[in-house]
Amino acid sequence: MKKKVPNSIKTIFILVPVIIATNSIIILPWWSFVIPVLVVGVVITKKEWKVACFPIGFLAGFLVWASANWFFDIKYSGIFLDRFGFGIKLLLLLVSGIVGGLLTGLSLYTGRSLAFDKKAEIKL
Amino acid sequence: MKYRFNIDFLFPLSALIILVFTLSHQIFILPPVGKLVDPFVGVVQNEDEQDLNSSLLIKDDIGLADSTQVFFDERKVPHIYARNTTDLYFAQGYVTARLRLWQMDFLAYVSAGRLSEIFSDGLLDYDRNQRRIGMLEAAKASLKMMERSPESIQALTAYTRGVNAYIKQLNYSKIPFEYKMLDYEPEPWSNLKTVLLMKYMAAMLSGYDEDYMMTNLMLALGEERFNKLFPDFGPYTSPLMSDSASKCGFALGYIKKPAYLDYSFWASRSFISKSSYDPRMGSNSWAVSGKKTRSGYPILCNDPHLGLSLPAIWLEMQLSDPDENVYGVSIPGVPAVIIGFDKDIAWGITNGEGDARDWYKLKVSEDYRKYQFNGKWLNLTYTVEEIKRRGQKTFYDTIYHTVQGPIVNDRSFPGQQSKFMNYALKWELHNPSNEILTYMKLNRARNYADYAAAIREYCSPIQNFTFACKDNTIAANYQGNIAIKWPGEGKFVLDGTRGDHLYSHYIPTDSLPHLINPKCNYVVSANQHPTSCSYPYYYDGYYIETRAGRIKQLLDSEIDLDPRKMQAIQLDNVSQFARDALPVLTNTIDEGRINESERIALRNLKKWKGVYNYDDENAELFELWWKNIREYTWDEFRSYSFDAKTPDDYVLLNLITTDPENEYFDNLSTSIKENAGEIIHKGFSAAVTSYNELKRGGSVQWSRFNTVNIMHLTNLPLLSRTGIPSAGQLKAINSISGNVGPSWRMVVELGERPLAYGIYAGGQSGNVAGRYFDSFITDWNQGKYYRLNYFISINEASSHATSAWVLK
Repeated sequence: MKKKVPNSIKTIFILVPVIIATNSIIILPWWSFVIPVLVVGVVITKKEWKVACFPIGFLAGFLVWASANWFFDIKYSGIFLDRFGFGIKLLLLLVSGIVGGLLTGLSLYTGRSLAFDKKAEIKL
Repeated sequence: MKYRFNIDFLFPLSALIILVFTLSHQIFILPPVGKLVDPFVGVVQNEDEQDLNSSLLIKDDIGLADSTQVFFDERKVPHIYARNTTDLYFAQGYVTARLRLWQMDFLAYVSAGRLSEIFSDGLLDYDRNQRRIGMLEAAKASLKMMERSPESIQALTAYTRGVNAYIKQLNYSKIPFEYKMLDYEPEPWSNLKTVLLMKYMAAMLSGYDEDYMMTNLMLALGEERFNKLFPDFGPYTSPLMSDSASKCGFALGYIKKPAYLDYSFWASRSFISKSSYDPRMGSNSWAVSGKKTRSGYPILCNDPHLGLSLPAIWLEMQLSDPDENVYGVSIPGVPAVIIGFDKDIAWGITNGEGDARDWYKLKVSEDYRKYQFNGKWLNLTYTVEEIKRRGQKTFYDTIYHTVQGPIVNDRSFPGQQSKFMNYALKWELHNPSNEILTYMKLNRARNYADYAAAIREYCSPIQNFTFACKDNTIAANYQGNIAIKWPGEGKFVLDGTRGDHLYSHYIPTDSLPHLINPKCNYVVSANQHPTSCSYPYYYDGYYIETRAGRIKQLLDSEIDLDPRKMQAIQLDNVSQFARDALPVLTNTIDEGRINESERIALRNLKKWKGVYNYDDENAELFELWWKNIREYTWDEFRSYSFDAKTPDDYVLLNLITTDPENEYFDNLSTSIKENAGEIIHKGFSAAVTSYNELKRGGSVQWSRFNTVNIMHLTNLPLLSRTGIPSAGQLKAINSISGNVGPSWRMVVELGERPLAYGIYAGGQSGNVAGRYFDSFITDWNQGKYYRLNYFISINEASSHATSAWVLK
């Protein structure tokens, strides 16, 4: 039980730069980051980290997408999102967080399901 | 179970794939959400305008012969300095694409009838109609003609290469927002697209006709009443060409009912004309010689009234190469400046309002193989148009052609105008023309001779050009191809079987209405008649006289004119019609017959000067009153089975003063016989009642009733500016109403250095996510002007610039 918490945090710390790095290569399709995330899912499962994959992935994805949108909006002085008022701006950030979260969570979980070994589970 | 792999992964994997797919595509009306909210390539990236604000941005190897500099001033007006003409138009294309790519691209689709490629549903009929009225074909024909003029094709090609150089370096994150929202990508620009935009403008300015309605009215009213109610020349005309001859010639004035026009030709049917064009929209332009100005130099003013939209129809810029240095507004997608000025001259444009469309009723064989013409059966020719559709099979449309033009509605395409079945459309827009060359020449003009040479070859659509030169030459021309017709020809639906209904010659250029240095020291064009009725040729159009009359009145009353006074004239909110009508109406009211609240209203109205100012409290009352009088008088028109327009306001006013017992004043729904006085009384009581009701509901200031909507081209309210309270009225010089208004206000005083002011209802950039999208609208609405930065030299431009680009 004690071990699980740091592993979850470690996973988030791995996921965040992975998503940002892949997303930043804008010539790749917008959804490309799900592939490295899936690989992370495989790796942490092989390493037998006990991580609640979907919630942790969701959290990481949500954080990156929502805060990156927020960051760029501030950087470019936010004309567009302000045009629609604060409510819609918040909604947009929320939607982007959910999209980022769903995709990251789902792909991390897929990675885990792919690598998950039932025998290993029994050994534990 | 020997399986080492866990089959369970298939479930999350397929969920993931489905999710990615769904978020990447447009689902019904929902845009591709995933792509849009992606922080690295989505909407938020469209907020990035660093290139417009960078102090020096260098773009190498984009295809220019020499290095070309672009300086942006604080309003982001580009000032382009090229070393040769080809580079100049290349850079204009590049910069325009940066500022307005989606708009120009989208309007080219609109013009060509290609919207089904963008929207998966509901626009096939629109596209078919565009093809059938001949837009795409006309553009191709004009392009072929331009290809024979080396100067034009060089400019077109350079501009196209410039636009494409910009498109080439775009990636998804930086393509305009609308592409992301509608989920498609910019395709390469082409010369044809530029020509399509010229045709789009031509259709906007000459795409209106009343042939069908006028045919019905002539038949229903009879010749005499028709001429009384729909006169070509009323008592209030103030033509462009002021001549003293007052007697009408053979050609103009009274329209005889053409012999062919009878009920056997015209089996009477109901017909609803659907047109978004408002014939009341028009423009003002005038030039005043230095003899009437404070500085001694001439002043030219122009405010073309067009549909207001976002992004705006105009893009401001300065174009400079060794042969020219011109400032003005351009149309995104089209090389050169369309309305503007240089060191020596200034020119303005208003719509000619000429009738450029005629319909021919045909006799076609059942199998669409033959049609009757001049007693013979001729073969119908046809073309097949390919209309690509998003997510659906390509549609092939067969369009038949006659000597007159294309058959727009036939059995396979009854369209909205189902009663227009098997009519051929003859439209001046179909003929090849090269307007761009006129504008390119105007951009280099230094004097009257250059101006005259530039507009000489201008064909379509008919426009009024006004001109002023530093040497105090002023001029106005009604320029374009006007067919020579017999009196009344083309005012009504024509007989397609007859050869004598087909015209083929034009009024010679030298005989077109024109005016140079008149005694009054000014020229005015505001969509009024170009001539008096003594002009030897017949012509027809949708002319409006009120603004021209008012402008002349104001110019006559002033001597020391300067740019500030000219701005005040452009912003003048007086309706001359209201001024003329008000005393007639108020004097008719018998004060003994009205109640206390009506007496108060009447007292206020008597003091009113016909001014539609922002905060005026009487304008709406007058509007209500006059609307009632119109409705009560012309109630007969509502009983017609066809869609009929009612006579002009001046015709009604004239009827009130000269023939108050006229049968039209009798209200059909009452048993007593009303006269004009009765109608005016009734109208007043009803108007005061509704006015007081409005007053109880809030303010009765005019701006509450005169609101402006500036819609985004997609019509999405979120991207538009709607309900802007505004001064002005359609009949006033400041003609603003609904979504029509002065699309570009310009005042130029020539001199040692041109002193110019201007503003339009929009912003320089079409980027809806940026700060320059609608930045001028508030100032425009408040009647403010910007001082235009006309730079004499590149050094001047560079020292005033807030950002600069070097293109190579």
